[in-house]
Amino acid sequence: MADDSPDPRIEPPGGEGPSGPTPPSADATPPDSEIMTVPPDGRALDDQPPWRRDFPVDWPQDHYVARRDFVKFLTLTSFAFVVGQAWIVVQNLWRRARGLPAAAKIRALDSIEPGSVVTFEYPAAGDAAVLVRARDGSLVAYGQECTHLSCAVIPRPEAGMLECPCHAGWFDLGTGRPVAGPPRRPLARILLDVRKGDVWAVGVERRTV
Amino acid sequence: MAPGGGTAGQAHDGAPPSRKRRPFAREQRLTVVYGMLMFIFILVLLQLWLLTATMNAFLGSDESVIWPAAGASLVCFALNLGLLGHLYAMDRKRQ
Repeated sequence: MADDSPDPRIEPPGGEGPSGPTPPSADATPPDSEIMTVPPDGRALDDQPPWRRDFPVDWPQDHYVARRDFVKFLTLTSFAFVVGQAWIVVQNLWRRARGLPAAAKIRALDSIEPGSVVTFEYPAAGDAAVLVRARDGSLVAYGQECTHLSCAVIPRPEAGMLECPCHAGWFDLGTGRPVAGPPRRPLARILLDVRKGDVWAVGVERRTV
Repeated sequence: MAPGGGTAGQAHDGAPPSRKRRPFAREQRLTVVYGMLMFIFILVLLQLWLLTATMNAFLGSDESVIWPAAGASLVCFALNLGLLGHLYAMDRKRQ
C-alpha cells in the first residue's frame, strides 16, 4: 500500500513555513480582481439569485457564462443527433416490416417503341418511375426521384443519359449511376420481368455506389 | 492528524492545509470550460458525420452500418453528458 503520510521534508508537521503557520485563509479562493461590479445587496456574486449570476455585468464573468452555456447548447445538439440516428433505426425497422413490394404490370412489350419512354408508378402510387426501351430493344427502368434533392429526372435516350434539370445532375442510362453534377448515389433501379408479352416491375434495388 | 502532533498551521476542519483543495478561480474554470468545449465540439462534429453517412447508407439500402452508427453516436453523447456533468459539479462546488 502506498504511504500517504506527508513527507516532512516538504510538508513540516505543523504546516509551519519560514514566515510561520499557514493561515486558514490560504485555502480560500483569492478575490477576483477583474470583477468590479458590486450587486445592490452587497453580497458576493456566488450568493446572488440565479438570474443575476447568469447575466453578469462584468465582461470576464460574462465570457465565462457564455462559454459555459455554449457547452450546454452543444450537448443538446449532440442529443439531437442521437435522436436523428434513432429515427433512422426506426425507419429501417418499418421498411423491413413492409417487406418487398408486390409485382405490378407496366405495359405490353409491343406497345413500347424502341427509343421511347414510359412513365408509371411503382412500388406505390405516387412513386414516379420511368421505363426506357433502347434502340436495341433492351429495357431499363428507374425511380424518377433524383438522389440529390428528389427532383424528377428526365430520360434522354438519344444521349444515353437521364438528366436532372434542377442542379444539372446526369445519370448513365445503362447503370443509373451519377456521371455529372451533385448527385452521389445511383438512381433506384426498378427490376423488370417480361411475362407473356407484358413488362412487369418486380422489385426495387437501391444502391450506395 | 499530521505526525508530530500539534494543531498549528492546520485548517479549521483538521486537515493539513497543504492537502485541502481550493475551489477553482474563475480563470481556471474558464480554461477548463475551453478544454471541454474543444472535446465536445469534436464529438459533435463526429456525430454530424455519422448522421450524414448513416442516412446515405440507409437511402442506398445498406443496413450494415445503421446499428453500429447509432451505438457510436450514443457513446459520443454519453461522453458529452459526462463532461457537462463535470461542468455542473465544478460550478456547484464553487457555490
